[in-house]
Amino acid sequence: MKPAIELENLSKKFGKNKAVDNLSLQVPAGCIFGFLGPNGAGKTTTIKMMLGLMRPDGGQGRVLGRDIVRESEAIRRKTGYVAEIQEMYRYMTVQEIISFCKPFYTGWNDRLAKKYLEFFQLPRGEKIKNLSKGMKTQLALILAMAPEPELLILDEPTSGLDTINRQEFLRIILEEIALQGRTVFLSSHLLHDVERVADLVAIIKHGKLIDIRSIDELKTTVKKIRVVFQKEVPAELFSRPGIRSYTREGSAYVVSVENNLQDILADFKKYPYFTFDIIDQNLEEIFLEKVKGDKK
Amino acid sequence: MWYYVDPHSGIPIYVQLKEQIKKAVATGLLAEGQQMPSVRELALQLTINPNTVAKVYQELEREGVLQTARGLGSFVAKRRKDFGPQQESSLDNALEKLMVEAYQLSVDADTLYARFTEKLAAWKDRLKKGAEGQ
Repeated sequence: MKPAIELENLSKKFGKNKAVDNLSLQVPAGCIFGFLGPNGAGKTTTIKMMLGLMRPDGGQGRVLGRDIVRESEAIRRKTGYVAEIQEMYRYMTVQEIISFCKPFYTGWNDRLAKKYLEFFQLPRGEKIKNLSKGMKTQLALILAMAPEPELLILDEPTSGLDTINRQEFLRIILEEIALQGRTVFLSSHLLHDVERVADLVAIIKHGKLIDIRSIDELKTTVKKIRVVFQKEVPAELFSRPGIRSYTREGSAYVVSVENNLQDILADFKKYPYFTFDIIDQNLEEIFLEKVKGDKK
Repeated sequence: MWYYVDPHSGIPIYVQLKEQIKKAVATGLLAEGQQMPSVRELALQLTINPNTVAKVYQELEREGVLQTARGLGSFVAKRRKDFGPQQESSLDNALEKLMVEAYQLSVDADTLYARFTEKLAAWKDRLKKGAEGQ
C-alpha cells in the first residue's frame, strides 16, 4: 500500500532556531497516526509544511502522492485540516461559513454536515464570534470532514473540549474517517486520546524524530524490570543493546528496556533471583522518559 | 457481553481484549456458536481503533477460538477436540515456563505440585459453575 505521507529530511529554520530538523517519516494509508511532542517540538510547523502553508528550507515530502511544494493545492483539496487555533471568519454565521466552504470542493457531503450540525446542536444562525471554543472546534471538524477527505490532519484538536466531548470527537473520527479506510494524522500532547485510537506513534523533540513505532510494539517492548538477584551478577549484563539505563540499590536493580525485551529477559533469568518484576509502561510514562532522556 | 479495555494501561489494548474474549469463551460466558459484535460495532462502542479489533479477531481465529463466516461475521468456534502435536507443544511450553519460574523462586517440587492441584480444582469448579449458569 502506498504511504499517505512521506517526509524526507524535512527542515525548517526560524532565524537560528531549527524548528524542524531533518525529519523523515512515513505514514501508511488507512492508519491513525499519533504525532507526539512537547510544546514547541515542531509539530505545527511540520503540519504547515505538509499542507504547503509553509515552505521547507530543506528536504522534501509527498502527501497523498503529491509534492508538498509544487502540488500543495491538490493536497489541500484532498485533505481535511483542523488547526490548533480556529481562524474562521468571525462575522459569518455557522450556515454562512458552510455555504462559503462548500463550493471549494467537488465531493462535499451535505448529509454528513447536517448530521453533525444536529448532533453537536450548533445553531446555524449564530455568528462564529459568539461560539464557545468547544463549538468552534466542533464546527471546524464538520468543515474538515464534509469534503470526505482522504486524509484528516488534526492539530491538538481536543484541547478545547471536555472529557465527554473529547470521547465523542474521537468516536466521530473513527466512524467517518478510520472506518472508511481513510488516514488520520493526529498531532497532540494529550497522550490519553492518542493512546486510545492510534496504530502508530512518532515522538519528536526539538524538531527531530526520537522514535516511531506501533503503539502495541511500544507497549510490549518498552518495560522496566525490577530484579533482586541472589548473587552478584556481571556488570556486562546491563550493557546489552536495548537497555536504555539502569539504577542499582544494593542487590536491587531497576532496568529500563526499550528494545530486545525477550532476549534481555532470557539473559537475566540465567541468574537466580529473589524477585523479578516486569513493569508495564503506558504511553505517558514512555513519552516522559523519552522526552526527558534525550536531552541535547 | 460487556467488553472493557483500559487504553491507559501499559498492556496493549489488543492484548487486553484478546485475553478477555479467551477467558469469556473458556468460562462459558460466550457460548459456542454465539455471534461476536462486528469490528465496527466494537470499535465504536469502546472508542478504539478498528484495526485493533480486527487484529484481535484475526488472532483468535488463527488460534481456533473464533470462526469467521464471510459476510455473516465472527462466531465463537466449536471447542477443538483434537489435541495434535502443535497443541501439545504449546502446553509443554507453558508448563516449562511455570517450572523455570518456580525454580528461580526457590519453590520446591512438592509445593509447586500442591499449589497446582489446588488451582486446578478451583478452575474445574469455576468451569462447572459456568456451565450450570447457562
